[in-house]
Amino acid sequence: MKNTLNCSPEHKKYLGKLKRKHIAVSAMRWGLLVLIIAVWELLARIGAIDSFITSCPSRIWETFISLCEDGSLFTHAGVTLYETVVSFLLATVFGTLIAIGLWWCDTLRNVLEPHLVVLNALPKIALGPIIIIWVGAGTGAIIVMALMISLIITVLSTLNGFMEVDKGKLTLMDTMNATKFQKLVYLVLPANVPTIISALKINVGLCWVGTIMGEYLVSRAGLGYLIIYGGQVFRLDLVMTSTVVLCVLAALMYACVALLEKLAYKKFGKA
Amino acid sequence: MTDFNFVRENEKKNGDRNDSLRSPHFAGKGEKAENNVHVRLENVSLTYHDKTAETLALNSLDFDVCRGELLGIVGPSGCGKTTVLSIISSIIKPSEGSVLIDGINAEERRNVCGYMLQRDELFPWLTISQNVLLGAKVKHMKGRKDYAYALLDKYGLGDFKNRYPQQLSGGMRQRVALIRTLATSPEILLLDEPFGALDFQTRLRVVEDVHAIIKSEKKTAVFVTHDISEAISMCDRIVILSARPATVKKILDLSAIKELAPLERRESPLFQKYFEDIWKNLQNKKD
Ligand SMILES: Nc1ncnc2c1ncn2[C@@H]1O[C@H](COP(=O)(O)OP(=O)(O)OP(=O)(O)O)[C@@H](O)[C@H]1O
Ligand SMILES: [Mg+2]
Repeated sequence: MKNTLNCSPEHKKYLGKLKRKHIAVSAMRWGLLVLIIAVWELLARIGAIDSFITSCPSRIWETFISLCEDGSLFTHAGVTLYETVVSFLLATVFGTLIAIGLWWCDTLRNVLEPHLVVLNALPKIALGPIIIIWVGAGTGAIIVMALMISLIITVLSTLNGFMEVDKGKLTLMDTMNATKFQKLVYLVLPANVPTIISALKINVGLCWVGTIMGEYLVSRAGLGYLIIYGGQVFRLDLVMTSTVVLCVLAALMYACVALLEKLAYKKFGKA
Repeated sequence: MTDFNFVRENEKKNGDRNDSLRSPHFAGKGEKAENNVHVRLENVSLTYHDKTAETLALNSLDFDVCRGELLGIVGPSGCGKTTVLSIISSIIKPSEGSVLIDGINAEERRNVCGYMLQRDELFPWLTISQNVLLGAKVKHMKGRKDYAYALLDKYGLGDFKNRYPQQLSGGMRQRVALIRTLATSPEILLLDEPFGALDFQTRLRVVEDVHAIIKSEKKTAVFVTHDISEAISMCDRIVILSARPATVKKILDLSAIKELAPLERRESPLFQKYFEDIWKNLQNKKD
């Protein structure tokens, strides 16, 4: 991009075309969203769909405003966000640490790997009752639930990346007399930045699943609680509003990880 | 096992032959020859084990590398040349026999070896200068930067310090790998086909340079190659290995052209004679 000034007219033309295409695509993206909302609202207004069952954009907006005014939206969204972020951080940190431990000790890895694979295959929601009894019905149980869902997959995928580090590069570290710790810090971890980042991306999604599932089971607050409550008292506006807020929050968190990815790639080159 | 012992016994009986094999420059000077041995391989055998098979790669190798000597190793592909270097640098342990550096177990002298692998193995996430300084960092050596940068400049890589390996050609990458090996100033250089990816022009120049560096810094070097003329143009002696399992077929002494620089050697009348000698030894499996 630096030398757009002194490039040939043909290349300029090509760049212009590329830019126009980009603008067209993003216009269509937003257009589609607006279209869906408009059609939804229109159908509700003319009575083609029952807005008591399906809600509609204007009612969602009203509910949103009223929830904002009494401040309860912030409480509920805050609770859910807190649970998700905490479980996400815990899953990432502990997942990576456990993977490092298993990479370090061959015997431990060989012993534990099949158990981890089985645990990974287990539908974690089945553990709900056990978690509630052991941890108590509260925020703790929700965080544990989200952890269960994301931790094991983090361990397995990160460990897989660690084990796939190029043998020749490990030999190179051997020729330098590197200790195991040096191999980890100078070779294994940097080589696995892409693996860890993609684990993070998957974790964002999984932690949201975990917290909402946990809230369905035990909570007194949070967006998951609002959704369940709204469903029980047949207030579809509340359900839809909470879902939309959830959508926006999840997208924001994903954007944060994507930003992190960009920074990491800048630091570690095109690893 | 008994076979090895038998060979060993035989060699012991045949004492003087063994001696001339070991240190030809100083044959007959007894003690002095001993002092001058830098690396000694004694009856080294190696068997690779994996799930499907065991492979005997080296079969009781016996030879010395003298201090300040540039020893070449040639042999057919897959005969075990890389394995010899891995054993000298203590990356793998010999199944039998031992390697001595300065008269002590090589494992305790690991730090004096600088090993340049067959592939460059540059880390794609590090810049060229970070790659070159990796060895120094791992070995906690301070103040190697100036030396490493001087080497980069000398080999025409000065402008690429902050680039990444993917942005370099194969030949440039190999030069970077060589500089990474030199940057820690090892006493013993182990070079595994270091010029494989270089074009012929660069190759001649780098051969000249490496020869000059090794000689001027008085380094001991073991140099593996499949290029016979390259071996003759650089080395003081050449160990010819047989096909796997590798045994020492012949050790060729090049002291007659020792004083010549690599390019001059190629023009020497003796060059062709040595070439044919090695060629013949690599051809016939049994003689
Ligand atoms: N890790 C290993 N496990 C099992 N066998 C091995 C291993 N490494 C090497 N070998 C075998 O040992 C023999 C010698 O290998 P080596 O790499 O030392 O050969 P080389 O002389 O360096 O070959 P080239 O000239 O092709 O580089 C080969 O036949 C190879 O099949
Ligand atoms: Mg080899």
